Amino acid sequence: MLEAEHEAEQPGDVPSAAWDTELRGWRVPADQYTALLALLAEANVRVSDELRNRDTCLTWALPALRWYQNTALAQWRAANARGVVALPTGSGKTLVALAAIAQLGVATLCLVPTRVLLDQWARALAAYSSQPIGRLGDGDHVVAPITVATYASAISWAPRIGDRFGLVIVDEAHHVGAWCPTEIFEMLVAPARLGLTATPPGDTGVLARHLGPVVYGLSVDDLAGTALAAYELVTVPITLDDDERRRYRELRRRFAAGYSAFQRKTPQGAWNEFVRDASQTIQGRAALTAWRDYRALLAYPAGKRSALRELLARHPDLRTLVFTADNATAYAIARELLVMPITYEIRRAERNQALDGFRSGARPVLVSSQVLDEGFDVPDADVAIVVGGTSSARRHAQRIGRVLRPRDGKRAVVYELAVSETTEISYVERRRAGLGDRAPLAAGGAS
Amino acid sequence: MITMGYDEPARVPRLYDARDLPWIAKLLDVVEQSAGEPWRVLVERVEHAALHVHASHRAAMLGALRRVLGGAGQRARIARQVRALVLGAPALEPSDREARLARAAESLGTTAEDVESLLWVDLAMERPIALPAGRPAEAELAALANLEKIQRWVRRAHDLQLRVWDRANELVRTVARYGLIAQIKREDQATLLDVIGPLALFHATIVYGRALAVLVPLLADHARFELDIHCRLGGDDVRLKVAPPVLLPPVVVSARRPPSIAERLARELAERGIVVEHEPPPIASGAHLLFPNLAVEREGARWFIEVLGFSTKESLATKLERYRQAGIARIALCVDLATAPGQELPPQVCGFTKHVNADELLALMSMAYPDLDSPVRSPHGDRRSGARRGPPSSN
Repeated sequence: MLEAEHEAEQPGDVPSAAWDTELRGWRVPADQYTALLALLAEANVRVSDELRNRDTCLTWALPALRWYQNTALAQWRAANARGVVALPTGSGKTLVALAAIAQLGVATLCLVPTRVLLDQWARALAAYSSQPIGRLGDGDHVVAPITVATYASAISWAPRIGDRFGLVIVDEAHHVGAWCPTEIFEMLVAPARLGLTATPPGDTGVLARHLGPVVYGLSVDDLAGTALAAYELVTVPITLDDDERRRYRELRRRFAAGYSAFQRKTPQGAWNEFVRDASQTIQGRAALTAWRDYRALLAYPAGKRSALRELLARHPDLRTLVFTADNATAYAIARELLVMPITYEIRRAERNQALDGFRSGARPVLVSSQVLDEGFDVPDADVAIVVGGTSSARRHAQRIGRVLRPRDGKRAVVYELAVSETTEISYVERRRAGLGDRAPLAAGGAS
Repeated sequence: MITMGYDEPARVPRLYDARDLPWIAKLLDVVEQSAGEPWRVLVERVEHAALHVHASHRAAMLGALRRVLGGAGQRARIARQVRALVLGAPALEPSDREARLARAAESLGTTAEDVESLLWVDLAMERPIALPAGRPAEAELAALANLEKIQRWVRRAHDLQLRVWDRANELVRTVARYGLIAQIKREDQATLLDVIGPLALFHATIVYGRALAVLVPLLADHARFELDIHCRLGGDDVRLKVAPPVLLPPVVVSARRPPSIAERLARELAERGIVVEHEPPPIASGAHLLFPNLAVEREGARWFIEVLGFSTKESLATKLERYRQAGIARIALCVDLATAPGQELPPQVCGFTKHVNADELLALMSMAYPDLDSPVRSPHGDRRSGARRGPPSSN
């Protein structure tokens, strides 16, 4: 709330100020707090600020930071403690956050996307902190000077606790603006803001507005072999058998007929417009059905089936994550090889048991389409087999990050199965671009 | 409660009716053809079937179909056990696979084929389509989809007005049982239930919205009703009017309903030797009707007790004023503190969490009005039961 003390003062001139008819006062969004103080100081306006004391008296016993973590922290502080640090999965982003909290010494709100990460963050903070950690989410409603909240809980709690924190940290910050609504940040006065991500989005406008610019970034290849495990990326070319090839070509032809008709009609039309348009006509629906069918065919043809068996047999003693394009393929593989699928339909208790089994080696293979991509504390794995996926470089980087947790003498292997002479090759090329295209597509494989 | 004035005329929304039955029949053909396949396959087939209706209608019917065909069933209970027994290190050789399935089958007293069929039977999209009671009727699906539609609007309501021309009792009791904030009026031959919607409550909106949605299935019992819903859909405030003829599923009377808070309180009062009358006749207060849950005889005087699930400061004040206007001085309201956070409670109001403490209520009745003209506070100070206590009254 802004109130004028003298007649000449015009609170409405303050940027972002809005008149609240209910309260009959001028209001400014919480995230304008720092800018407002600066503006008022510049104008020599005397301010009564009841929000100042957000310091904590916590002591932290943190391990030494690696060179890149120190650099990231220094860059972030040099940017007035606002900005995004982009480091690969497994490189210790959480430790950067802990060091930021310790250095600033202010009450901190950590925002995470999932309940699993809520627990993971709370445990990591508790391990180094002298005080209990607050939790908002997964049935917990405890606010403390250092609090971890899921995005969903933060939406409802931010109006009540938005004035308590001096620093806000956002894990998986690439979700800001989508999964993590920007309204949360408008309700937080915290002047210091740190975003953490392995894969900053192409358009960082939203991130910059609410957290700050990307102040430091390293890719998987920058750290592989040092801070991350060395890894080998092997593309396994898969050949369709005669029947599959014939079917694929026929389905592609049917799809192309419908899609090219749409493109002629709407040259700039986006994919979702095509889907909407196609569902209105018989020809369009046939094209969509063909599209769905050829993708299902490429998801798990006989060649991938035998290649997967061969690769698993090649690494019998190593913990392996199998990534698929869709849940149907994950269940098909799980049924065929009697290994555990991890999907959104498998409930938390069973998922945790499966992850425990993976950690102990009782269940050395897990198969998943999306759930393991991010937001899960997946135990150390040695081998990743990408049976199928999208063209998303971001998702691919997350998947590869799952096997890069460093260990003495570890050399991880990532296999990508790609069906030759199909659209899958272009997917592989596009997601490779996100990793710096470190390996040729025709690398040796299993089949 | 503030009665809303609407500038926009009410819209009569399109609900499923006889015109929809032909395409629903075609959809059911797809369902029958998909029997034994995973739900995932059915969903894909329905999405792409030539039904000539929008995707939202297909999704509505699939939702209704899930309700008709029920949950995962008995076999689902052992699916997790099967996975724990069967899924482990990869079975790369067919003989390994067969041996593991056989071991699990022996342990569960079934066949290897059965074990395999149980693997995903509890997963919503993977369990097979089963039609144990045969092909559902088209009208049944349409009725369930209508129910879901209306309930969705109600869950997004600012407020709603429901007029019924016969047997309002069950609706009113349901309003009371679920603690909805409502005013009930007599309007000519009709009874009007003017109910606050979740969006006007500002807190506990999901819980309240679910409770409010419980009213909708009861409409099937009324040959004549008018439901006006002022709700927010797709970012816009709209006013919808629902009236017969509407296809709705028949009302299911649940034989085993847990006792309500009022019923439990009545039992506890009776155990203390107090004469309790359940659901006394409605009390007229001007144009409004009041529905106390209990009437008790205490020291020669008749007291009314009303249990309120949800409340706001304004709704409590209004309720007390209506009783005052009806000439009822001996009234005790019980409010659920879990859904009325931070309220300062008037002297005639007893807060509770989970259940009303009969002793505290009796203390309130004894002490709140030793002299009906000069209410005083209870010697207990704060009259709220349970652990949650609000700020002290400023009066």
